[in-house]
Amino acid sequence: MLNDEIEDSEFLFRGVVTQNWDFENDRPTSATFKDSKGVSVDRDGGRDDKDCIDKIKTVNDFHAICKVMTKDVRDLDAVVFYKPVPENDYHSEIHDSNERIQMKGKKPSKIRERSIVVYKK
Amino acid sequence: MRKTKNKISTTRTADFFAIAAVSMIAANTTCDPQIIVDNSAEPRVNLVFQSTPTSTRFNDANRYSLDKLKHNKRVLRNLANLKSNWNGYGGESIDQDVIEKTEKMLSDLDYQPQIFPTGRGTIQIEYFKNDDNLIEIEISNEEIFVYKAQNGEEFEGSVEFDKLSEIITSFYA
Repeated sequence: MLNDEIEDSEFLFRGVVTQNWDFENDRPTSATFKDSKGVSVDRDGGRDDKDCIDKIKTVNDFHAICKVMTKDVRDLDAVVFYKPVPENDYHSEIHDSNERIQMKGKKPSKIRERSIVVYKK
Repeated sequence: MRKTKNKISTTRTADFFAIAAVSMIAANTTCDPQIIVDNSAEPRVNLVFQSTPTSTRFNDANRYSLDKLKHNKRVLRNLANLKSNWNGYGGESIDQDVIEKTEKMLSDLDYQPQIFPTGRGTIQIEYFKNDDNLIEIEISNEEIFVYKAQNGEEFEGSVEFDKLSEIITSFYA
């Protein structure tokens, strides 16, 4: 059972499909971090990168997987909620704030900038 | 001493004719020359040309590029076919009105962007030089939302389409 509070040092992993990959500049687009229901991510929960990557690859045939540190997200005044679901104990969500779910403009752009690509086809 | 003065005078006279010659040549070009004569001890001439647009301005790969426009319209048509959960995270399909709104915008833009779908059924168009110099424009049925970062300055907010062209052109100025 994971702690409800996600630590600043934990990484948040997100799969990126080809439609959200900028092939000209070899990077994910910030559109990856724009979702009406909050941006779904997997917290590392003490796992290493390989375990996190392998778990995400079972969900979809992603072009790439990136990770961003929780502290980097919080420094942008976005919030991270731990929201486990039956098929994924590590499921979490990034919201704009406690009052607003959807991020737009600067926040998703900066999260993209601070994210690290840990897997690419 | 007198000889020296005569020498300077001769040099200035020669410069005058040189300026006149350049001016006559320039008058036959598409440029509008301004001649500034500096009357300091060392005779110096600066020619300032306020040039009109030349063909080199059209060499930018993304500017006025019909190939890029055609490519982007193909990308848009593909985005129209995205099914629900296209991104593995419950991504929404894109409303036809958003596709048409974006297509109309693309046709009116001088510079062609890159196009990406978002998980909330909107379309994002992007201009990217580096992490500190970029424009991200999210198009939905409700609004056109811009985030622009350039040389340490940032802007974000909803804009009218009329303003968009100005924002993009200043990015490449």
